[in-house]
Amino acid sequence: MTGVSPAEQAIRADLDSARFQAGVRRGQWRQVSYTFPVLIVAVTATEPDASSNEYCFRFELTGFPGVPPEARIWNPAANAMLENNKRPKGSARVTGAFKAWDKGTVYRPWDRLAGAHGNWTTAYPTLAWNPKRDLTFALEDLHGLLTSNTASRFDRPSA
Amino acid sequence: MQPTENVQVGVEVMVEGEGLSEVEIVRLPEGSLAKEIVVAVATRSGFPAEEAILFVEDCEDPVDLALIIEGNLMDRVHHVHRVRKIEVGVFYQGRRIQERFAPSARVQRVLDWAIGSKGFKIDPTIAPEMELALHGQTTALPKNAHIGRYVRHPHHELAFDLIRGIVPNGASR
Repeated sequence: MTGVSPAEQAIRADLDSARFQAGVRRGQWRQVSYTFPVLIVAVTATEPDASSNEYCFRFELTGFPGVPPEARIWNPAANAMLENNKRPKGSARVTGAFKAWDKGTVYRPWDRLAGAHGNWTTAYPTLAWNPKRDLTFALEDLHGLLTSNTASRFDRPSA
Repeated sequence: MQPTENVQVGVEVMVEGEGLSEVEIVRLPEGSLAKEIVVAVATRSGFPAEEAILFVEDCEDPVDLALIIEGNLMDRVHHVHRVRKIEVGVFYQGRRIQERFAPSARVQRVLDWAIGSKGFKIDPTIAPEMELALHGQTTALPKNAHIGRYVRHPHHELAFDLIRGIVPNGASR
């Protein structure tokens, strides 16, 4: 494939994969745009009041998959990071993952910048990035977080 | 999948199944019957197709194999397995609960049951942090995985541990 970098080939393979497409069919995420090296994906969310929503993420994928994705929660209309007051709400796990921190990326071990700080890569190998990971690995993690509010709304026995 | 190569025009079906470690795409000729999904997975996994059952993801009842693959049947993720029901046990804080699920149930569905009012009744403030791991392990399972991928006929039992997920401040609680 002349002129197409290994990273572009890997990204295309991921977008065409059964794992990614299954998420699309389940309504868990959808591709918004892709111009190498930037991919924008909208991920379905459940808000604390049980309403449905979606949040966009901007993946910078230079060197993928040898280099981890750099993922930011995104406002495509403004072509900028999503404003703090519009970020996902819910448990500490959710707000922590999408908080504004000095590097500005998603605060998860698989992210290029988050994973490189502290000892996350060694402390959490199951969530850290490695070259065998695919885009769906990151999307499954984001979708799991964004829909976790559902778990706090199941029917409870009477107090 | 080998038996479905060189299909130029047709339908694409997403399927998980006994012996498969991930969701895969099966390509079949237009007008194929549901039975052909079973044959494709059985061939790949090395078991007789006539012993297998076809399910739709998160549905408990088998699919009629004589149906033509079209419409809703094409849009859903499927599951092929020789076990009709899996006896699922979940352990948490010294207790065990059990329920029967079709092999097409996603880990998410078992997790919803385990933390909910028919399960361990996990406090709503920590329920969003809960995950399932295979019993005795600590790695959270992918929530989209069908539980059938972890069971091989003639076994029909599966045990999970309910665990706390990793919190984003870098500490595991």
